[in-house]
Amino acid sequence: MLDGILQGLSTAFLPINILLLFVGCFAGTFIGMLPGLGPVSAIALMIPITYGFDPSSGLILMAGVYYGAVFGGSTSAILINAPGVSGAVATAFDGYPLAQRGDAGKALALAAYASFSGGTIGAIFLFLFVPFLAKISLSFQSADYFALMLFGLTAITAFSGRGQVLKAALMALLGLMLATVGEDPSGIQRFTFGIPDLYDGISFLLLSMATFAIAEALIVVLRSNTAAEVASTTSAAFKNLGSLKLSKAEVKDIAPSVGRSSVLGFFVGILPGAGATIASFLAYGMERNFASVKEKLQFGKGSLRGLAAPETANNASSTGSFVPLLTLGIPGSATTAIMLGALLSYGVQPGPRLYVDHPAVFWSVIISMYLGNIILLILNLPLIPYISKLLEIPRQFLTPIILFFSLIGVYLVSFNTVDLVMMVVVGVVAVVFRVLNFPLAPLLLGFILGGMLEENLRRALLISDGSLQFLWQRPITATILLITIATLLIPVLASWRRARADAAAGRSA
Amino acid sequence: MKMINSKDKVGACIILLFALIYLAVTFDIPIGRIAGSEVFNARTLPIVLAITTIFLCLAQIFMPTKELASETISASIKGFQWRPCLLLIALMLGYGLTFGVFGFALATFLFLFIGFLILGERRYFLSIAIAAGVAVAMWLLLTQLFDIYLDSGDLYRLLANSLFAKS
Repeated sequence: MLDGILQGLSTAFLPINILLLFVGCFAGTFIGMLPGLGPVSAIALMIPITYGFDPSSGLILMAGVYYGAVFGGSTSAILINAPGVSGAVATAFDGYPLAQRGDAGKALALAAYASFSGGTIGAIFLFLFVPFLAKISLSFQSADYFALMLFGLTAITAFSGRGQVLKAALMALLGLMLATVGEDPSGIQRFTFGIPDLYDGISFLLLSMATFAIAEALIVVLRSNTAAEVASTTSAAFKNLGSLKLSKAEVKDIAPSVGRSSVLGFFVGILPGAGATIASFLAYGMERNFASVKEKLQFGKGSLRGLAAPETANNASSTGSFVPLLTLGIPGSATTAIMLGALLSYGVQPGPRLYVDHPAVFWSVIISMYLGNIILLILNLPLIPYISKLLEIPRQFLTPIILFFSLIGVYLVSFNTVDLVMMVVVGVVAVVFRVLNFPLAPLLLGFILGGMLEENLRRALLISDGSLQFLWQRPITATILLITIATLLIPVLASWRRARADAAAGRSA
Repeated sequence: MKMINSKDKVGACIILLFALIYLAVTFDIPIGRIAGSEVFNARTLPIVLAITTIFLCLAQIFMPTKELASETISASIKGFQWRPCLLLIALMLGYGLTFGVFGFALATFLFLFIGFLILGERRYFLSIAIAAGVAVAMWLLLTQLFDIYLDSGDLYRLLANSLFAKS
């Protein structure tokens, strides 16, 4: 283990990798700040650029982009009440009121400190837990992997929010169906219709860029009236950021919130499908419950604790979401799903063997996550007044440039112009689903997991001679499947309880 | 009418249509006699996926939903800027289809310049400068720094050939 850590340290501290981390943090902050573009789009845009890199450098750049985009999302949430990412929605609850009363600088500085603390505590947990979990998962077999993937898909469905469960399940299934296009593991062509461009299946990069980058950009154009209104109401916050300093009393007040939210955020982040949004809302709710009656009144009106808690939790959960990816090779979120795709394209298979076969990659990524947090603090605190000016770049210039980068990113991988046309078609379909309020993250997760799920199911069935007994023969498989069933039942029970409560309220009225 | 205006139900109908076509095509997947008798073959997962999807779509379509008036399709698309969005989609398709003719640099310049115009930019010199700057900078970065081959386009080859033939 020590050898691996030393290898990781020497890789992470290579001048080129430090430079990439700086570039990644800056680019991520910039992209994350643009309303509508989040970490998924930011990382998707980086994939073609990193194809020529070695795996460690590529992942280090992406880790920097990830953290930068999460922080960037918070900046736009605080300054213009337009969270760049869903994980920053709770940040806007108290961040924007702070900016409105002339404390934008303090709110941004607090967001930077809270993100740093959450990321740091998350990175320490990652350092402690990942090698241990990776060792355990070495004993996993095909049946366990199949159960885990089922759990990942179920979890992203169950945690998708009220009224979204069935829609998320449908999108995950759609992703799984799209994953079956191309050659199956036994070499048979499926759903290719004799078109050579489909023989290798639908490109993961094409799907992710079309569903996130292109669809987001087109949605912003569709809703451009609203965006213009937002921009016109926010110029006051840009002109007067105020002081970036926090007093000792304020730091003392928010310190316990930061500690609690870091732990909560990290563990929520580990759960597949939960992610930064749920972590930030849970942390916000937890802090409100911990607050005194007087403090509670401040929530939603510019409470520092109300800002620190979700900011800490969303960064800690971003770190936590790497646990299933690094230990099991299963992405827990759309962002880590994209990273999984990138790793596979480098020829690196994430999972328990990553720890053994590629210790330099494994440890350099973990170390870079911590370095990324430090760089974000160094980069963002002094640059906040200047970075915030990026929000003023006219959208009529930014949108076509974003579209161009998305298109050329996919072209540079395949050098096939048919992919460009296919991407536009997929992007239009994604816009339709976005308008219909169908979540796209489960689609991507289903697409990524589809191939692995089929392979593991096929192997498990072969080993068990066609019997479904493999589902309960091993205690690990049975336990994971039981958790999966419980996860699926939670939203069903919750909706049943709500219906009963509504009925009771109706009777009493 | 109510169903046509419901986001959940229209979305489920679209996926249902896809799943039905997918299921029909699944039976065209070629499987040999030996593979056909195996417990898991190339058709197994697609059939399971299609049937599960159809079942869930029907549940979504026929399940009673409490959709607020503000959450209907007509309310959601109210005020949408369709024209620039459709023009941008056409522009992207045009970029893909003409890339081989114009080549990277010219196609990119035209894509960006027209894109700026579609989104309402009327400072023509600034638009030309930004579009040309991005196209040239990307061309230099990709070809000179990363050593990536970029198609110069049929038009360029035609012009170069005719000039070469004259000289």
